[in-house]
Amino acid sequence: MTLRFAAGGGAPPQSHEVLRVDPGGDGRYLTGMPWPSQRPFDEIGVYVATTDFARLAELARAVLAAPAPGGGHADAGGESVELDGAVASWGARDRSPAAEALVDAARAAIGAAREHPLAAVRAEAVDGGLVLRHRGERPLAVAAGEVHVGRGRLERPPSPLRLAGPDPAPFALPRVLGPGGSVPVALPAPPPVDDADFATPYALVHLRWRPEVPGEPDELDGWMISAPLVDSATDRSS
Amino acid sequence: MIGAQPVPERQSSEPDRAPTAVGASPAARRLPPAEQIARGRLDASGLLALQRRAGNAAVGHVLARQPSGGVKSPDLINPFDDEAEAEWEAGMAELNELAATLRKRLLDTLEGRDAILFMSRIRALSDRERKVLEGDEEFWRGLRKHLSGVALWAVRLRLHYTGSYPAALRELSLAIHEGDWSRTRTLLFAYDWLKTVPGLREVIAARFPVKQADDLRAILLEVTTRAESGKREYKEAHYEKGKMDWFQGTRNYELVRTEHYVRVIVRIHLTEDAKNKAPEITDKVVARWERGIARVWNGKLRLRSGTRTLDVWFIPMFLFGDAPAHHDVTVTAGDDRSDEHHWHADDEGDVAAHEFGHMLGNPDEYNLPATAAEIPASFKLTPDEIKRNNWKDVTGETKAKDTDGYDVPALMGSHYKSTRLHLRYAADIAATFNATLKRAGEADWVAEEQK
Repeated sequence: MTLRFAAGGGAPPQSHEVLRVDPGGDGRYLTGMPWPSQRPFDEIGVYVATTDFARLAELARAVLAAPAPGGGHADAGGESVELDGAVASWGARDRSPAAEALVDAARAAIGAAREHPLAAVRAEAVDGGLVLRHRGERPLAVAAGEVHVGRGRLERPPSPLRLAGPDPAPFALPRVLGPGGSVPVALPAPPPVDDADFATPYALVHLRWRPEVPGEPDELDGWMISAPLVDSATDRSS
Repeated sequence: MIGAQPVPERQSSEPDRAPTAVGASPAARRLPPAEQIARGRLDASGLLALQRRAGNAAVGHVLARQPSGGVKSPDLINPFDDEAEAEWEAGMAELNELAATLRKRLLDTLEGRDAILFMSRIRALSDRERKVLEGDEEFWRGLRKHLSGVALWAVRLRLHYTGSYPAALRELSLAIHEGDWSRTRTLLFAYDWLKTVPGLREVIAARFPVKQADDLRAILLEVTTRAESGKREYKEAHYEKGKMDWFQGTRNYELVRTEHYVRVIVRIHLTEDAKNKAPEITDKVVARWERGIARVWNGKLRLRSGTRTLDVWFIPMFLFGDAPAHHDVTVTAGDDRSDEHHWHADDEGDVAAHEFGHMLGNPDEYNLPATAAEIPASFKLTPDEIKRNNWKDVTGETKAKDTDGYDVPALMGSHYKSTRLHLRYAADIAATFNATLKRAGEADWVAEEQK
């Protein structure tokens, strides 16, 4: 009877967000890559969601009653809802009015949930460097860390497609990141500036992580886009 | 290589012939000899020249002198029809007088350095007056004392075309005014009829450096055959958020066959998203996409039939305004996720190259099922589509079922890892070529890597 709303997919690296809500209103939001729909983009993990199940279920049933025709474009990703054993999915740009209402309500619940990390990790830009910092009360199992550094506009985080490249730099991770824990990440040099509009360096962190949420995969990809890697002493010139 | 977009190099063996395009120079519209006119001894081209110079009435005069069999038996015409000849001469005198009047009225404004009045008078001309002036050698001789290059060409276009120019000609005019060699040659590749625009050779010589002008003039001489692929929707299937789903793409492009190349022209009409707060389709953005598509697609593939090869060159033709196109793409500010027909202004060249791949009929190659058996029959993919949408058929490798799917590290797969092209990306092009442009006696053309 759990309601499951999911958003994600698209051309790799893929977006990933799931909101699961039980009839009592308790739920979990988990994300392996919140870009491009759910800021902040520098954090992944599991969050506590508390919402009006009845209202969300009513909106979901309206979507399930009139499913989208399918056949949208894959690269843009999509959204879906599951309830009572039924599933409906649609393209991110092909929402029906019923889907639009459901997405609005789900986004409100997700926005609130992000204030309550249960087991999350954030890629924090600190003085031109990068630190992975645990947030929440539950340990988070992580592995296979690698980082890309690229460039984007100063005013907004760029697409991970702009940052990702064929040769990431691996970095060491503990098996588990516990509450209060942090890991410094050694960054490769940013690429040269080839377009003045996209001159600000950003990091894109990729790792594998275990959400430990029943009904969800054991392991997921995690992608975090840092804030600008700029401090007063470095990289102003780039 | 000059300009933003790598384009095919010209073969040095291309013969340098004299201009042949209809309407390319005033000489081509010169009146036929008066004796021929008077006696009705005109073939079709002579009649056409007369019609352009002197209008339909003059042609009527000539045709009236011809026998009922038309121009095939001019010897049957009465050569001593003095009345008709006098009538004809009177008509010609009137035309010459009109030409002289118009010529003086216009050139006088330039003697007085009044270019605004000159253009205003040009615009005010009637259709007949425009035709008379366009064919008046003396007018052009006089005009060349005052104008040259693009200014002279602008007058020529104004006299030749009624009302607003066709969209492609507006683009060409802009490209030539800006001295944009790359854009000019792309337009000439894309629209054969532009090669017959009057005054083109002259303005090219005036506006571009010698090497570029030579290249453009060679394009004008190219003999090409063309074929449209036609618009076709195709299906693809892969895992999405752990579940198998199907999606749709649209293939539509034009092939142009020359002696040494196949050009794949995709006309992409760009429209600003209504939500944009400022114009997002800028020269810089379009140039980034053109560069990206050219870098990823060009210089990699060719077609082979026996010992003959044709290099395949891809030309994205970005269009604006009302020009007809193969694809419509809405452009939104920022860098959210894009798809075949919805791009974002910050999209990198690689993203444009991937979406361009869809326009050529290529499905995505990420999240693929391990085998064809994982694709439900209810999705109704064709057998060919199924082959392009599972790991086993695409790569030849066997893998276990995984609802995360498998990504091919290539342009149509996880292209952030690699923008490699596979020969299958030219499969639709080869099939279209064989169906439409293969010549009698040629074996089927197949795609291979450029060596």
